[in-house]
Amino acid sequence: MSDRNIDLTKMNAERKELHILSLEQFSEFATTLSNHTNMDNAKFAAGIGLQLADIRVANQLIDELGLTGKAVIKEIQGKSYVVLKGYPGLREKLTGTRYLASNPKVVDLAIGNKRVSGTIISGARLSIFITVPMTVLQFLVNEQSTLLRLVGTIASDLVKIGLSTIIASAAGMAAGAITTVAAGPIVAAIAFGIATAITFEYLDRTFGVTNALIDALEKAKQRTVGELARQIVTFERNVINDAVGRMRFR
Amino acid sequence: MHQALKVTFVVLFEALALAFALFFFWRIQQQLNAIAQSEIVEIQSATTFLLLPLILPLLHLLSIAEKRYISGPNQAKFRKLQSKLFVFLVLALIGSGFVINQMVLSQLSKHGYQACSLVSHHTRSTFITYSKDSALCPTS
Repeated sequence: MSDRNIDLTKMNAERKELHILSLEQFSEFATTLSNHTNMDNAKFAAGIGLQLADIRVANQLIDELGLTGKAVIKEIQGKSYVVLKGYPGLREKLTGTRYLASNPKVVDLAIGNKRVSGTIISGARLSIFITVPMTVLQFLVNEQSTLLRLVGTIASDLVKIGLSTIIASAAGMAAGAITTVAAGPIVAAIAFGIATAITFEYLDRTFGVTNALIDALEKAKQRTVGELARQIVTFERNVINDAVGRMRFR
Repeated sequence: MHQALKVTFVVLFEALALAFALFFFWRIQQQLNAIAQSEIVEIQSATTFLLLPLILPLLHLLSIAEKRYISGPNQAKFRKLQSKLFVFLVLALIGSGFVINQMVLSQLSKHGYQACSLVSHHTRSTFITYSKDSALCPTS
């Protein structure tokens, strides 16, 4: 009996909203959406917007440390420290000369290799959170799209974002190894991230990687689910023919 | 990071930066050839940024110059100059890529190419097809 008692406080705390549309309402929604917005444009704007977010972090760093800002990472007694060069009085947030690498102020400004990687990875995560729902929405409003095209497009987008992120983080580390300019690693990471993404998009368009993936998925479906469906149809047809044959015999 | 690994890592990324720059100039050459020979030319936007990774080898050159040739009181001056140079180089790389891309676009309009209405958008760049005859424009 106790299971049947509804805990209203708990329900209100975990409130969820579910919108159910009729087929007509969804059709109207899809038409309005495709008439008034271009999903491709929105996806592109999201991609650029995220890059701008990375550039904003670099800008904050240059604002704080100045054009002449220098930062050196030093390991002291097993702990990683960020040592800032220059006159501390000119800085607004980082008024000390030495900070633990895990200090929130240092983390916010993406100083040091690990912090640069963290910033780039969180940007990539955000990129996935925006790109995937947009691709799904695009699939829903597009009459000619198939589920396999959706899966293929998302898989290809995720691989491109993942590889760009890995290369961007590694480039940030490489820059950290050769320069003490505080903004060097983050700028290198942004530069390599954008260049890799652009190159992958060119390669995808030229060699049709996404389309090849969709074709491969289609063939795999034909070999498995499609073959099973064909076997079931053949089996049904045989059973029916057999039954009809027996009825004639009688 | 181990010194040998660090050097390998840096060399690898500097080679990659050069590869991106070569890719940019190869694309420009390809587009200029297409303008001379083909009825249809496809332009990818944002290729300007392919030159930006060159900032890594340039930063490396600056740090080598500082270690080898600058010492004593000039070091502080050079460090200030290095950071200013860094910002200048970033702007110069983006600016030169932009100017080269604009040159290709001006060649397109000079030869009578028109942008087709169908534009293929990707996450970081867009592909626009230019054609002398709108009937040749791709429809899907």
